[in-house]
Amino acid sequence: MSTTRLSASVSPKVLPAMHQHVASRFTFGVDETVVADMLSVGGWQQWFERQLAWSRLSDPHGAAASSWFPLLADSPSAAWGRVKRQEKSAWDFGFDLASYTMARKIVARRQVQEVMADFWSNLLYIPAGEDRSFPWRISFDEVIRQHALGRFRTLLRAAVVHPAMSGWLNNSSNTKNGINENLGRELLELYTVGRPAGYDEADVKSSARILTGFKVKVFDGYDASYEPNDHWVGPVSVLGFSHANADADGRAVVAAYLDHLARHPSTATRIARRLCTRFVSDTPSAGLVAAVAAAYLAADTDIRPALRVLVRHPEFAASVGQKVRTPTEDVVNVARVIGSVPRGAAGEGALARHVIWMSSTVGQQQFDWPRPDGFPETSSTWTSPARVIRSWNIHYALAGNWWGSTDAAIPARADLLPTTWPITLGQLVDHQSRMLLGREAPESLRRAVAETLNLPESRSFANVAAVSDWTFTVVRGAVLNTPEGMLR
Amino acid sequence: MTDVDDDCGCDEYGPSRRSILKVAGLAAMAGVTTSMFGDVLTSTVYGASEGNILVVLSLRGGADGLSMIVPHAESAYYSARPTTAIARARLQVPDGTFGLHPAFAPLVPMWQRGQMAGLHAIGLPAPNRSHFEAMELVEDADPGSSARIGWINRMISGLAASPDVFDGIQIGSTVTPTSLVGPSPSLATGGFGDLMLPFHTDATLKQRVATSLEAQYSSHAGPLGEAGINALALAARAAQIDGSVDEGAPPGVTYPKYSALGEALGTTAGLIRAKVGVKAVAVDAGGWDHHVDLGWRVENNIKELAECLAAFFLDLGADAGRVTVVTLSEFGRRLTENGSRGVDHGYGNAVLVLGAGVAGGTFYSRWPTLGSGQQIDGDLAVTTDYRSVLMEILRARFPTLDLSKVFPGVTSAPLGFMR
Repeated sequence: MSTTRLSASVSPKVLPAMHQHVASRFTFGVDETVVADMLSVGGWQQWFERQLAWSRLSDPHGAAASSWFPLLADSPSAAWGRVKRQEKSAWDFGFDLASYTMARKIVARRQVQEVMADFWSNLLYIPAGEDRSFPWRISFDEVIRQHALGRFRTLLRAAVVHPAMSGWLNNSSNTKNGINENLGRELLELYTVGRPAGYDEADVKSSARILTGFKVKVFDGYDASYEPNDHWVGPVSVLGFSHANADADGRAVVAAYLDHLARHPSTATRIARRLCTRFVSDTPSAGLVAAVAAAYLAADTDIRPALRVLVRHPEFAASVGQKVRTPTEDVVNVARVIGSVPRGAAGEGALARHVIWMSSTVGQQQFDWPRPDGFPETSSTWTSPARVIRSWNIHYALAGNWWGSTDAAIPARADLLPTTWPITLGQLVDHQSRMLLGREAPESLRRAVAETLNLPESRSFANVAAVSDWTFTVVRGAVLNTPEGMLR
Repeated sequence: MTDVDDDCGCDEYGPSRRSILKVAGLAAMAGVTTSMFGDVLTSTVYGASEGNILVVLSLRGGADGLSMIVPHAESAYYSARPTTAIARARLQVPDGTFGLHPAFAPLVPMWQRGQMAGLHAIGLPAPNRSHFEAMELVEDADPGSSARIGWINRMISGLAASPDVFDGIQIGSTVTPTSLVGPSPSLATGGFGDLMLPFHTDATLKQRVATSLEAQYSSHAGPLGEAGINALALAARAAQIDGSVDEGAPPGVTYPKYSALGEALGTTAGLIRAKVGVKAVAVDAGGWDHHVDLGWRVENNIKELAECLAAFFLDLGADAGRVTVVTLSEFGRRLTENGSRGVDHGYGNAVLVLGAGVAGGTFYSRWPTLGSGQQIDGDLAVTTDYRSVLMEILRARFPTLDLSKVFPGVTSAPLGFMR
């Protein structure tokens, strides 16, 4: 790293504006690796295609992250055994999954896959550590990541009848002898067509009936099976889908029903709007949503063409500065751009675990939303004054490693600063603005940092040692605390 | 369990202070309550509200009102719920029609003192069995307008010409609920100690940080610029709060362990005792979506709710006389059990009202009965719009408020549960 690092220069290279914009929206933080990758493949379009073809992109750090959390390797029955013996609680499994997820966001090279895994995890949302789903939750996470850049109907088929989902939304006890509407309703409202599609209570009942038969032995080993004896048999009809449903094994009906929902124009619109809300702005135009929805439908629910249309739409290019990072994204981004990277998760003080509490302090905790609708995708949710204060504080804490996080690669100052000296304070601020924000420091930022330090911009630093830990922390915290530091 | 009889200072309950102020013709005069509180902050914050406070407890997930307030005289209730119905003999404070779930025991002393009332068959004017739409409707509470402004925000706007950031607060979750969204400032926070600026212990450095942030955020176009400027104001305001707010309950007050609701109510009590001018507090009590195992799950929820509320009123001490609590939930649940010994999404629901101004110790309802012709799609009907319930509370506790602006177009149909 020391020979080729961008930060060796007094004026580190920054990406052209559109490159920076794409990288900022489709990664969890534009660190040196993203900059280098994007420049080496010739442009943002090429970078985006390589990211979409995720399986051909080597990602050793991302792949290693799960091994830092041994609990996550437990089979569902082993996990249940541990809880039954009171060695661990469901909460412990949830906390490890959340920490792993945060760590993977920080270290992964397959950033677009990670961003889309987060998007789908928030749509098909199951909290971590929830009693009825926790032994299967890591398996559900793998399903999401596997299909994050593929066809939605394949993902939907795998996710809706997954044992974690069956436990969480009570499909595990939805049988012909006692219908439980929970999953059947949320499948329509949250995962596919949404309320504007106009389904009624009879549709909800049919939806629940189709889903009968998927058993999970909740609180008893958590074995999952399909039980034809529990399947409700008879004609079903939901929003234009009808089926005789005469066979005791209803799995073929389920597959056809889920395909119907995934291909429904209302689902296309709903998913397109959510994508646009995440990647463009809180108020995407009807035209943009329609274009993304059309691409999704034309490609039989493949999400990649939809993303290509989105990123090439003029409204995307015009949306710079319109999305605020969520608290989780904020903490992950700062860890990435300051170069503090988890290398394990040993002990409570590990960075991979601290980042959970840090984002929680700012106002959001990974997989901790209590309801099935997932965290709000709107930036306005995360733009409250209280959140801004908390981000200002956590930025300094991360920049200075004030929490004393361990089991992480935290670069020495010499490896973060230029190799040519002396430099002025103004140059130092510009250097850090380029490294942390991906852009040159405007005069207003140089002046703001200088005022915070109560030093003139012309103040000269002779060498690395002349930049004290304190000065460096204040410079980095203040740079991160500029409004652009919270935007993606 | 906690005995709320001890030293709770609840003798200030009811209309006494309000009536005195009215008689003296002082009700609308700014500054009156400031002298009552003695010292803190600006007088205009308090003038219109007379220092009264509304706490809105949201039972998220759709609480089963039929378990909370059991209609024990209805055979339909017992036949529809073979495994989860609660026998009349187990109910607390039963009358001829209703009784409280046995897990409400910690609140029975308040009930008996007339400080708690139970309302039934309350809800939205039309059924909506979607959690998320129903919550949005309940909290927006103005179906005639497309503007997304919550009813608590409208309440705050109606109580002061320029509302203070502490007038309407959510304590617990940091995500602002719909009820608080709108033009008046609001705050959603877990506590108050983390609203300080970086380096707040070093006055000089803190000031330099503030100055540099103000320069950058005031020139930044877009919502983050405005949020930054408001953040600086909020930090300045929060610095005026005594650190004791987050210190926990006084000796003798015990909230249940590991209870997020208890933590939020403890912080709420601390804030109210600190007298910083809060008028409405929204608190979430999650986990009421009982599609499975209604019996033990709802019992646990009610027990926690009751223990938390009993501790809360004890915690408030003399300030209990200013505080009214109302519970709301997005919908009630289906009358008939499902296949999982649970209940799916329904309609009509129960509401509890506790504290100052309540004519309690009684159930209030225009009870539609559970006769099969009376049900709406298998659910308890709604005979009282929840907005009418809120209007009844606001009229009693915030008499200067123009209710037609908080709940436009709603005709109030009082049940008579407020004094």
